[in-house]
Amino acid sequence: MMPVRIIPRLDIKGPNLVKGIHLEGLRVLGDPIEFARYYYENGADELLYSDIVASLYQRNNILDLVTETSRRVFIPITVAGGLRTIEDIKKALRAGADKVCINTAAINNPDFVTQAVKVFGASTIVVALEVLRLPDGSLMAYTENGRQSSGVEAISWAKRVEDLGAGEILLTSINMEGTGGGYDMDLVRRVVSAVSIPVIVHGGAGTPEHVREVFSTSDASAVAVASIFHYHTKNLSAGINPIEGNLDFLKSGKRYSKITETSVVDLKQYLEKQGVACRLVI
Amino acid sequence: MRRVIIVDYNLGNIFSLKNACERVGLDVTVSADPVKIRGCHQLVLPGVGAFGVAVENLKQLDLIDPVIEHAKQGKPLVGICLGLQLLFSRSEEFGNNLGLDLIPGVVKRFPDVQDGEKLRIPHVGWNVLNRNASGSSDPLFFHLNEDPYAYFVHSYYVEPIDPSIITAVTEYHGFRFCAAIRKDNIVGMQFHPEKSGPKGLKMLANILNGVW
Repeated sequence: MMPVRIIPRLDIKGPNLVKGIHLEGLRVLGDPIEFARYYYENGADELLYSDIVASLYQRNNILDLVTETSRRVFIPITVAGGLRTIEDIKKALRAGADKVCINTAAINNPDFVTQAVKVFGASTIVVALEVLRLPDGSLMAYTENGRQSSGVEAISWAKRVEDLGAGEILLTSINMEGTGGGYDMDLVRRVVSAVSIPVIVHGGAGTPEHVREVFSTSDASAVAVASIFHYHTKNLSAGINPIEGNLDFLKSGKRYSKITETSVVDLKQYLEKQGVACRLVI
Repeated sequence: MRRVIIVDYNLGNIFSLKNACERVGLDVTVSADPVKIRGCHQLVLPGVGAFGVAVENLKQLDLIDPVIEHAKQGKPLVGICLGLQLLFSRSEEFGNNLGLDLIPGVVKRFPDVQDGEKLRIPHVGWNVLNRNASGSSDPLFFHLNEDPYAYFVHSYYVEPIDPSIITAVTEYHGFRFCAAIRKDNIVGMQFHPEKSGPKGLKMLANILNGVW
């Protein structure tokens, strides 16, 4: 049995690792490189670095962090956020990324995906699918970190992404992201069964049980997890850069009530016990 | 310390590979210069991407002959992922593409269905390298007691005409394919040792630190 992949997702703003609720209201958690090294040593299968402001302000400042990380961490690193051109992708790969994740540019210009796949290979190109479930139950793809509706229906877009040649889909439920309330399993199952490329599920995990549900009830290949790992790892936050972001949450010493904190290795051991194959030997 | 050149033909993330080589103490240069490549002791052919584009890039950079000559002189040549596939006779990717033909055999695409189940392609993630009899004594796997996990990301796999050159196979939902080969001075890995954690670094060090 092919082991599932557990991928810590690191949302980056400026020099800091941050975490948002519904992609709003950012909290500073610490130095991303320290977190990345810890996750590597703790059995993470890949890392996902997401530049959460790049897409809005069209700047790239995450690449120095990627370079620094790739010198110390020898698992795949995917970079997301603000990648709009072939040159942007080239820069990210030259900085040490192994894969790139595109969203806004893919929806605005699907040919960009085809072109990127041709130049860099399907296995380098991940397309992000950020989905908002509307009150009438319809599923719509969003861009700009969930701020802008694309007017494109999510499941048909997932199929199109595969036809365009992308190697993987990173699926986020905007409704559930950051809530700790669990995954939108209906969405997960619909996207996973609609495509034949691997799907990385993201957005909503509050407990190890939520992660188990993904693998027990769908053919998803991986999960990207932020909160449950970051809050567990929060004591790495000593040397953080206070220039950007709101530190009140860290200073308060509070915990986020819906989140059951766990480490990567503990989560994997739990999943193994529940019959989900994981890579436990590092 | 022997000098290693990573062939830079504008495909894939060779910087990860360079970082990993440096981490295990290798004197490594990234180059597309045919003269330098002709003069070096060990050559690494990396790569992620399309077979046809890779061959075209190598042609345009005048790198096909230097790589073939290097191998034929008996000097160590390491192919990683697409770099392994390029050493084969031909690939079925986008029609038929001719490779460097250093290893007789074909590069094939994974089947869409295996045992009645959808096989998700590309094969992405960590999977086990099952060493066979020749693999257990291969220097690539020195100091690795158990069959290690390695990171894969590919839609195509190699099928050598001579199966005795295979040192490890991997199984993807029941579909077995060649994960590593050794043919005299040529070592090939379908996985990415540079992205396979401490064990991957160990394999890189084994193969490039002169254990031949």
